Amino acid sequence: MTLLSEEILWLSLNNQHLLAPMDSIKQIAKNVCGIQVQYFHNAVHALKLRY
Amino acid sequence: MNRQSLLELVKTWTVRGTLHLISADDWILFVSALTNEWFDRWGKYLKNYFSLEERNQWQAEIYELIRGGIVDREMMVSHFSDTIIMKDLIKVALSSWGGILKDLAYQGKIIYAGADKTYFQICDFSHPIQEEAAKIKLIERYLIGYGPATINDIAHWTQFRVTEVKKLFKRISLSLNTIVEQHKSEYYYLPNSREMNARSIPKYLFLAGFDPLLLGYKDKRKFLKPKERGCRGIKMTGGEAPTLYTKFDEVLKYLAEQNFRMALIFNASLFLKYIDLLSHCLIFVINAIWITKKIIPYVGLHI
Repeated sequence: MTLLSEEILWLSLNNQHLLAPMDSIKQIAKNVCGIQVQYFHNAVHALKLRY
Repeated sequence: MNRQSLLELVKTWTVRGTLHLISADDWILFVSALTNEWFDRWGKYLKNYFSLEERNQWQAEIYELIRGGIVDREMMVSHFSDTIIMKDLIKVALSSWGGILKDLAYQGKIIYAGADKTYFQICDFSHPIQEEAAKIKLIERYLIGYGPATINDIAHWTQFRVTEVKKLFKRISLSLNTIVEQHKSEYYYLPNSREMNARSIPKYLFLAGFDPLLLGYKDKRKFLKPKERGCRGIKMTGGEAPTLYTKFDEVLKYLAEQNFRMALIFNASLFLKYIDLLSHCLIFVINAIWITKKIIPYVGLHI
């Protein structure tokens, strides 16, 4: 199966919950296998983008 | 997002040896998958400062301190400052990069006391998952969240060796689709992930430094506009602290007009007085970079 770069990008963003938010912080953390929290506000921002 | 929702998360060192917020019920999976790998890797670094005997001694001492209620670095430093023998190594052992604390965390003996906490608590890692099974599970989970991804992406994110990933990959139980992108890279993803919604790709996304999307792939070019539209690479620095963009309408508008797909937001909170100047400078830099077309302007500001 061949996909265009654009389609691959769409799938990645979709699976990363960056196209449609989720209603569970816990589920977001699970689905993206954790959020790096070197800086706490970065992690909060990453969660908010998906929530 | 409220504080309550953070209670379901815990903070510990996981992939790439870096601190992560993870779901509390994923903790056993991560420790089981990474404990040996990272205990050894971190041990190589610690070897520069501690003999094996000293490392064990520090581990035992710090563990006992936490168990006894001395749970944050400051308290520990204060405690060890009275111990002349160990004085030189206190900074290393209790370093914010992890030191011996990370050592203990990778053994599943301690964890941060909460997602937004800076102190530790003892934990019980008495029922681990078999290491290889945990690694396979971790790869499966990665593909759910990050697919389509290549073998190299998996190796990059987990930091397992490519040969090991290939071996583990054969044993995963997910029914994956394989796709060959136009540049001939082989990607794997879950077949049903296409049907979740039908929204289009946004023109730009303002991601924080260390966003999972930035860290999850070896080759990040797919997040940039295609070469023919004038972009040839990426400069990714990772870190800084974003969140608020209200005064940056013009920067955001400019980025949007340029059809930037994403931007990394740099922390300008210390320079609020000069914020207008900074935003103008940023636009100038973006333009200059854009003209040379050597790297994509991938920047923004945060206040």
